Amino acid sequence: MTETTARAARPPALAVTDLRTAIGGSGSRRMPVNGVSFTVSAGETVAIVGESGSGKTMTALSVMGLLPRGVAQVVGGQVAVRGRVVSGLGEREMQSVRGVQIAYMPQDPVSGLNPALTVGLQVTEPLLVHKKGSRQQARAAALDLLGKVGIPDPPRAMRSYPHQLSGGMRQRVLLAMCLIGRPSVLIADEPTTAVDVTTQEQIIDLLADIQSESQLAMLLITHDLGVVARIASKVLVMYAGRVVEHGSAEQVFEEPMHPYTRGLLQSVDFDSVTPRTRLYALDGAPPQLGDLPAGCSFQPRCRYAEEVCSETVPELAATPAAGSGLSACHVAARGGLPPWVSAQDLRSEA
Amino acid sequence: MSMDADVAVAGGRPEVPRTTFRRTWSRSAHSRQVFVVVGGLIVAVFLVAAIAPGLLTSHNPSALYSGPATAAPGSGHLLGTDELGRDFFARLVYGTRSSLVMSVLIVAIGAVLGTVVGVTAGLFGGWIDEVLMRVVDLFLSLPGFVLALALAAALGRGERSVVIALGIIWWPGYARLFRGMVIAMKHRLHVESARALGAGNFRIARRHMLPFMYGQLNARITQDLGYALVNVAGLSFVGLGAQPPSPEWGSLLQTGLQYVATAWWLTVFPGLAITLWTVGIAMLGDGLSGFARGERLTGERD
Repeated sequence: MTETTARAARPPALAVTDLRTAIGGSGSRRMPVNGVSFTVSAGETVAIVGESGSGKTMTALSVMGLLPRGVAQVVGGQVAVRGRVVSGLGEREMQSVRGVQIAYMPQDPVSGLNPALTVGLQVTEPLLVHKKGSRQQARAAALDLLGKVGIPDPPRAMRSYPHQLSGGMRQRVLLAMCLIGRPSVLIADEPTTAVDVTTQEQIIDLLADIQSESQLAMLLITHDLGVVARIASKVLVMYAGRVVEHGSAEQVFEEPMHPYTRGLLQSVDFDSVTPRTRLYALDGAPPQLGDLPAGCSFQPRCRYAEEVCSETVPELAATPAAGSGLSACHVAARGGLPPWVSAQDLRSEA
Repeated sequence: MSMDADVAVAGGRPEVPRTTFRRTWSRSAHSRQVFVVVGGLIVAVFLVAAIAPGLLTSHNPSALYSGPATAAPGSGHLLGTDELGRDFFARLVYGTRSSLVMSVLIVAIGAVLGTVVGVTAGLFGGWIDEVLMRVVDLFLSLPGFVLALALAAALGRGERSVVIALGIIWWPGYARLFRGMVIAMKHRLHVESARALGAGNFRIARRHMLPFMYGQLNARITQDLGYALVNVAGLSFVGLGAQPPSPEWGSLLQTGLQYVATAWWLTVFPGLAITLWTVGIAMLGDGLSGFARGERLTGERD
């Protein structure tokens, strides 16, 4: 924790404050991102986890200023990169931020690369777009970086088209494209969903290596709790557009203080699975954004729900439980949640 | 995407069995070379006819009764003679220049104007899109041929008026085509990732969208080169295009139609010329656009 105080002196690489994004007009307005706040410091990895439709990717797109025009727009809050406010900048100014200050790595390495251009052209493009050096310099930088992200024979890869590379290689190329502009923040949107398990491991290791080497601030968007446990220092759990739990990775995994987070952890606890037992599943389905329940959005699915839960929206706040992070839960706030017992603990007791 | 096939040979070229069938029909660099060569030859012949028609025939295309009227193809006259006894091959050859120049200019005006308008509308969206597309609707709602007729009449007779008139009615089709393609491409992930790395609209259109539109653009242009000729012929027919006696494929075709029962060659050969020209352009365009998309990008067609 001393690290955190040391860092507080200079502005964090990425600071998001009370970000709100709306879809649709005044009549049918929905809020896929509703008051999200977090910071990512240099060298830190913050993970946003949640189900599909919880607002993870919308948060990332809002930060990048890449929301589909006319469909969604940021309606409140602030995004600052190294202390400079970038929310509300015009498209042209935003273009000079993207790629050099914040880079965004899309989920799918297959369609994330242009099939009609060689890898070399694509990896050098960010440097050329931002006029950071000549074609030769860009080429040299690309060769160097392709080697660093673990591509064998970079000169050959430069001449290849994306379809000639394997999924893992394409993911690495995409990463090189994101890193070549030397951004201070990298937003990785589900970097491991499109590749197989062994490649996932390599990609995660690679991300961790590169990060420790270059002090990159990384925002990791994922629903893979295993990946989060391995590299994230802070975790945000999103549900229906809101952050429901926020804390260090240890806090969230060891002492989850939101019923939704507990449900998520329990449903991936495969260690405790024995043949012929029923897997744990959260009851119900995530709510439609246009039709959110009153009060806490999770309340209809929550086994601890009380009367107050369907009346007021809980604030993200500290809980009385020792060693926990922030939780947006009425029950947790008054210390009403039972102590968290993971299945592992149960087994070790037995 | 055929990922599995490629994964096995990370970084290498997938090994494709070399059967005769594949060699002939796969869209390999080799088959594209054939397209380019054959298409190029056809186009070259037409260009020679357009630039130096005298090299291909010694007959004067306007000399009346250089032979008997409506003589069948064969002795003395390669493609026979027309209703006034003029050598038909010579008329066809000398007609090449005006036909080609007019159709190429019309399609070029239409394609350039339409592409700019369509890509702008698609990329920017919002009110820009609305305004531009209403203008396009306006043009599309007017009967094109009548509009061209009015324009050509207002601008005066002659080939220049025909080109301007048809060029103006030609672009809305391209605008719609390109707007649609741009909108479809806008949310392709590679376009979004380019945007996420700071690429601007112009760069995105040129680098990340246009390469995928060559196929459609090419198909459209080659098809339109033929259509433009037919439209030119229509305007010539009502006396607004090429003025008699100067030959032009469209007007030859139109005139020949009156004698289709007795002198088939007067319609068949101008028709063949138009077809051959279109096919030649199509082959050349197809071959070249293949190279433009990347030589080894096989098996993927638009």
